[in-house]
Amino acid sequence: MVLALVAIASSPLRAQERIHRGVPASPTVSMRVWVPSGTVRIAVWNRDSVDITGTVSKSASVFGGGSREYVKFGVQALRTDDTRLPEAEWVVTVPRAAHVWVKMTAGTIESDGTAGELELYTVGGRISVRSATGVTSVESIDAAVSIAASRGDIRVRGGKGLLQLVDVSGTASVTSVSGRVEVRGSVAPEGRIEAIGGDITIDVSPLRGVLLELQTHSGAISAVVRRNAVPLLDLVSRTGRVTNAAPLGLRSNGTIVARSFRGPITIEFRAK
Amino acid sequence: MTCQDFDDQIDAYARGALRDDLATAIEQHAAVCAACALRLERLPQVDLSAFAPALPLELRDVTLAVVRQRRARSTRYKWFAGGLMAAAAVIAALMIPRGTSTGPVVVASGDSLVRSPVLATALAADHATTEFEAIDAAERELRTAIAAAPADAQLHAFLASVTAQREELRRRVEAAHT
Repeated sequence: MVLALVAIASSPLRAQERIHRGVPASPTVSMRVWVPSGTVRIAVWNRDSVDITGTVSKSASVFGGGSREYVKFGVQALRTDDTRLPEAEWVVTVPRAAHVWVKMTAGTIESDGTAGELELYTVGGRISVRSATGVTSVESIDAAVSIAASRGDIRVRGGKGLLQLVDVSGTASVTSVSGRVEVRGSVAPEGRIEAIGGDITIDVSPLRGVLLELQTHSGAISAVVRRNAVPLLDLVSRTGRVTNAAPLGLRSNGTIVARSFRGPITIEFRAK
Repeated sequence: MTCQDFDDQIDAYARGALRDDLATAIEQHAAVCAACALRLERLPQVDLSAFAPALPLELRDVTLAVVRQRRARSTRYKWFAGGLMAAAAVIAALMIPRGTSTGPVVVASGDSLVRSPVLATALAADHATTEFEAIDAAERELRTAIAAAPADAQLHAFLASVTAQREELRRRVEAAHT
């Protein structure tokens, strides 16, 4: 049966023809998706199967198949001399606790509601994760990354793209080279954020006992704190200017440890 | 396989774009057909050293590393394909404008998952070039500062972070195809 599925899935498609594939799957199925270019949207449901709908460009075909525990689908170029990246626009629906792995070269990856492990990679383009509650790992060279309304164990590795964490809680490990990192919202993750030349901006209220460690080489670090809940601040820039380091706050309001080699560090106090 | 089949597929073979069974068939045919064997021997060889010095350091290192890996694993003529793919990767990488991520154009081969690791890696390396340069600049600054204050633990911590970032970025570049 698996071979039959693979054979069916591997058959070439006509130009822009819609595709639809379904495979019975366990609730924790490992789902791998390879689409070099285009869009992949990950949705979840409470059924015991995975489902792929969408379109494939006229120069590409679908390959893949799988078992209840492991499913893999992707697109590949039809012609060996094609100079374009194979492209597809897919909605991939998986069991909520599935382990989902998506790799692209240049495209958009969006996910919503995953509770299992989520691994997303693209060289360039955009990655958007919403309402993830499991383990989330996002990697890119220069894509913009947005993680919103999520909790769990979050790991982001970026290059020059903007990295945004909005209303994210749990633990986070974020690194960026020259891309800006923004953490905003009403909750914050505990963890470490590092950048080389990228700026780091924190605007979270309240921090509520969360420890955030921030480090840059030359990027500016700025944090907005509320006057009625000033966190403990430990700020050092070797050659950059530190603004508004006082007054000292309380650990119960959270802790911000910021280190920069030559970037400025600025604390902005607001009433609310 | 006939000589006509051989003719039809030799170009794809040279690009590394054939399935393994077809590549094997090409080689088996060449083993029993002197004329086709001659054609196989005359496939153009690419001298990597001719273009490597002109490449950005990280792109050159990654590209050559992948090509060397492919050659080391190969027991037959696949190094031809590796060399040609590397050349194609270089051309593709140099054609891609810096700082743009739309309109992706690379020299794609038949099975993008299996056949074009060098191309995907080269694309990623190209996108990462400015980031590697930023990391290099930061490292130079920190090493200068450490030379003036070798016992400064905080400077060493900054340096450790920067070098870790380089390794992370290098790993991500290499992960573009896996």
